[in-house]
Amino acid sequence: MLKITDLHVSINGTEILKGLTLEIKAGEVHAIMGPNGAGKSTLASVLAGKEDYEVTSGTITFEDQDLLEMSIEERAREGVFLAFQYPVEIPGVSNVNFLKTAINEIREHKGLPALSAKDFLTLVKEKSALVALDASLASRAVNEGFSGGEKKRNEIFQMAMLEPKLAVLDETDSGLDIDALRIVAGGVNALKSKENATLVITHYQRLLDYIIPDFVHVLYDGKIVKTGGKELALELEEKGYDWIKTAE
Amino acid sequence: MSGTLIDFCKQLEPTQLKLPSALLQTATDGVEFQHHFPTTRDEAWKYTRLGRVASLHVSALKFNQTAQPLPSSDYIDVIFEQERWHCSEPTEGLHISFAGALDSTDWNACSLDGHVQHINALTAQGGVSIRVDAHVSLSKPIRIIHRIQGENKALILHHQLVLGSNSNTQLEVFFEGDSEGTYANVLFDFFIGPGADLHTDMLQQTKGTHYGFHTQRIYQQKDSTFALQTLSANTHFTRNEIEVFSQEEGTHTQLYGAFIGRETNHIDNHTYVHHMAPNCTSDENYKGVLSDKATGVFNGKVKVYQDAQKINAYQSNKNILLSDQATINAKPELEIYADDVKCSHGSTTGQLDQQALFFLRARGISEAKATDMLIKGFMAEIVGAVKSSHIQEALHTLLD
Amino acid sequence: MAGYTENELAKDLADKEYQYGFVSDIDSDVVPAGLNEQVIHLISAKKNEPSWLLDYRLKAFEVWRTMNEPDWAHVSYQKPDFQAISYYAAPKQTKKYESWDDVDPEMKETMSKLGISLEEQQRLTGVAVDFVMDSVSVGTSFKAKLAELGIIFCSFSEAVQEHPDLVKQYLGTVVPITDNFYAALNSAVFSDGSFCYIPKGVRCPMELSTYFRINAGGTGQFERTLVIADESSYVSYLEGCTAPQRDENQLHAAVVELIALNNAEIKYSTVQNWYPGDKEGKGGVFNFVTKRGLCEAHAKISWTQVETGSAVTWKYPSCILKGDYSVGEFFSVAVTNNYQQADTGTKMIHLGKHTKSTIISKGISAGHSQNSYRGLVQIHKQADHARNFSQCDSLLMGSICGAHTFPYIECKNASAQIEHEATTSKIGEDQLFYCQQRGISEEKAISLIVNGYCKEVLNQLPMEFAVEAQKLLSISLEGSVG
Repeated sequence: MLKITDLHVSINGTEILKGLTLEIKAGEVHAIMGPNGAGKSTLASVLAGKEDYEVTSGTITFEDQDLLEMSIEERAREGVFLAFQYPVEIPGVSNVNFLKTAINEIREHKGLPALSAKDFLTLVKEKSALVALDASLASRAVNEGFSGGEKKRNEIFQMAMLEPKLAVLDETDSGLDIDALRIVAGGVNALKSKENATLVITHYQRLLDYIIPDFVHVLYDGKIVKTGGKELALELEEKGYDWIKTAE
Repeated sequence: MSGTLIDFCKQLEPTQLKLPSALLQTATDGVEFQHHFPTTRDEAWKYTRLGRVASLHVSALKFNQTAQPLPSSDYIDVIFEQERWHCSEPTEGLHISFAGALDSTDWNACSLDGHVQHINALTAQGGVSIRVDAHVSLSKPIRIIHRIQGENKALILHHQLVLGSNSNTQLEVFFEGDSEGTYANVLFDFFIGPGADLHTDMLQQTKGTHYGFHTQRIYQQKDSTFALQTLSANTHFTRNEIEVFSQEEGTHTQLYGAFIGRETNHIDNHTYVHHMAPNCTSDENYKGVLSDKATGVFNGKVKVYQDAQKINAYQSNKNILLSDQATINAKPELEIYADDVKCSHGSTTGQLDQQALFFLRARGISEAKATDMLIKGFMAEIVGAVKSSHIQEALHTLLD
Repeated sequence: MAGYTENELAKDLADKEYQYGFVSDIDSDVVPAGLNEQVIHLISAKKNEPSWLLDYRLKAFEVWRTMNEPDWAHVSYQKPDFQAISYYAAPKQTKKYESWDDVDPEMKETMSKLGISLEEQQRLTGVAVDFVMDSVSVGTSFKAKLAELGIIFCSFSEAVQEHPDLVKQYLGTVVPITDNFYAALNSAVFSDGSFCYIPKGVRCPMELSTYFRINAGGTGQFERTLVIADESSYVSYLEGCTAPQRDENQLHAAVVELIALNNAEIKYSTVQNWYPGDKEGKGGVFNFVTKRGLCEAHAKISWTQVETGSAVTWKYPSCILKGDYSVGEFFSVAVTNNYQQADTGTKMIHLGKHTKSTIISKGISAGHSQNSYRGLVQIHKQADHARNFSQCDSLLMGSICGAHTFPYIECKNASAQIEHEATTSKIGEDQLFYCQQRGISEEKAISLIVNGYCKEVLNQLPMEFAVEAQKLLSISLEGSVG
């Protein structure tokens, strides 16, 4: 589904990713772990198409298409979803209006008719239950005045609504207490299927207690330096990132 | 019956400075063209009447080229007093001379705008020229003291400060005096070189019916820092005009001000920051406390030019009215032609926080004391930005 | 939830040119260009006016001749030649319509192109429309229903004939003829407009609505609107403006006076999309309007405006808060694109005690346009415990437009509380990225964000108007990014 080959990325002339290679197949859950500054969030931003990042070499294909050639919204419409580390507030724009616009744009892209108001609201009800999101939040402005936990749950709610092929969760666990973490992880797990894939980016192992990865990759200094199964995360937790640094 | 601008200039002496002839011509033309003092129909003078100024009968204070020496102290002092000026021995990297001794080419970078500057150009009797060499950090603050004495005297000076690249200077400016019917028109040109840092605190504390016009023009080059604290305390009539030209990238400008007016004081603050280059910041904070029949004016303008992206400009003006006869006129303006900017201003006018007052009194503090405390608290941001210990002390005394 | 879907928006966006730019081919009865006393006599005679009104006009003309066109606003334009304008254009068919069937079919079509066919309006929305087409009001609906309540809603000319005492009592009391250059001009030559009177204690059960439209080429539009809300009454009044596409600049100098007597409330909403000129800044309407309301004790006047049109706008809907405890509000969205220039804002004059005013202004500039907020908050000596809150935000789209804020705050009373805040910034890049990551196109994302940014103001509009306003915002900003 996603194939990243020898990816080099710079921001303002500083190289952050230095030859990253990664392949994710449908039905898989991958986790990327690494210390601060390793380039984890850069990877997430590059996948979504954020313009501040310059891809100097390497390729990314998504469903056999060149992802780097696509605009931000084309990637989203093709099924790349980024759950933001810091979800953005948009004053005055209701969550519902925002999502309805997004869903219908994606449907239009796929040649599907727009969703009727009734079907849309049914969907909102169903999906918001998944992450225990208070229905009243749906009518409030996007992320405005939401608590940290509500923002993250709202991200997963949006993911549930948009049904992406590849979900990239960027530090979704940061700032969450254990209950919120369980709810968010529960939502992600419920959405897992044979057709879609998930890329979990995290600093800590604890999220991986709830979202069980098939593969764990360690990102260090812009490259994947170690790949293993879910037990690698535990090992990292125990030994710390210094272990990777010295092992290298 | 008030006189024309030409009449006003005629009673003074022709300038002792060697301004370029083009500048003098601009001033002559300006005075002739405008003919009369501006009225409140003139946007720049909407809230400040000049009738009393126009009818002043004043004679100019004149100065010799050579300064009287001063004993060494913790300051580099420059004093203008009656018809004499005094100056300390400059330290290394510092050059002080009489502005009248400058060549006409030394004034080339100047420009003129408005009747205050025109009068200054035509009638300035002196001023000080201060140059700080590149990479020099002055060990002592420079202190410029103006003592305006003698009834119906006019002090008209044009100072010039040229600060070399990466130099570091602290300046304190004082205006004192207690004579009646006096006029001051004192203009500063600050040329701040690349990477230079200038911190200026100015205290205006003239007593008596004094009409003070203070102009500061600041030209900032790349990565320079300029901070100015202007404090006007119980002055009969004050007009401050501060114009900053941020000409190159990376500058920071801080304009703070406090104005305290009582009786029939009229204190007018005009500031104008020109952001002509990208990646600059400016921070403006003016606070006024007005009692009795005092009037305060704040007109702050920030203009961001088309190519000046990534500007962060902030402007705040807060006023407290302590009497029903007091007036405040505030006009914070933004004029913006670049899109990638963050500019904001806020202005509030009100009374002392009644809840805070109640709280203090409930703790046993008298109403008068509590009021003083709250005013001090209100002014703390401005007082805190002042480096001059003399000015800080003066303010503390004033606010007690 | 917003009633307006994004698909509708997409349809609107497909039509990039000014969609209301058609010229109706109705024979106009046009007075030759130029302004002198004879023209004023002629206008007055054509309208069969009483002599006091003719005198009022002539006096205004005298005053106007001594005045100069104001130049303090942050706009620049070729000043109109006031002698080249025709000051009266009435549709030739002068007889009063008995029913809607009598109305010229082309005029009806004009209205349906504007999307305000009276039949439809009547059936669907219950809005009573007084349609001002080139200066003469052609029809007023729902009159009978309103009459039952004692509400008078008619054309200004009709009011002069039928309710001269009311007109005489209030005309020029809020905007005197000496007020400003354009108000004096309007007072001399106003052709028609709307008149509304709500009797004591009556709550007007429907939104009253007028659509203005400039039609004949080279004619100025000088409407006069007078709304009087008697004690303890309530009315919500809507005004919409469109003008066909014409090359020469057209002048629009209206005067609106509102009078809210004790405990009365007037809500006055405007959606203005006069022709803004083309992409090169050619043509477009000059919109120089004086709007002011007077509040007696405990009265409230609320102005809401969405300004997307006109080449040059000069407009400051204001409130004189004369009575104690009176309230003034001003909610404004002003969008400028291409070469449009707007200098708009409000004046809140606090005379009474415990008076309160709120100003919310949202300016959006794109293209080569210049957009200024200019406002005055004035607290007079006797206005104890007056309150004002002002929030003026500007959004910049593109690096060749300008956004300016010129607030004047004048306070002569120590018990006043005045708060003014203003911000200027560009559209949030992180917000755009977030929307796009969810699959929303850039253009649509901008539309969403801008509509959200203006929400506080749009929420003040009645539903039908809010939907129209949202569409107009999107259309106005079309092509402004990229």
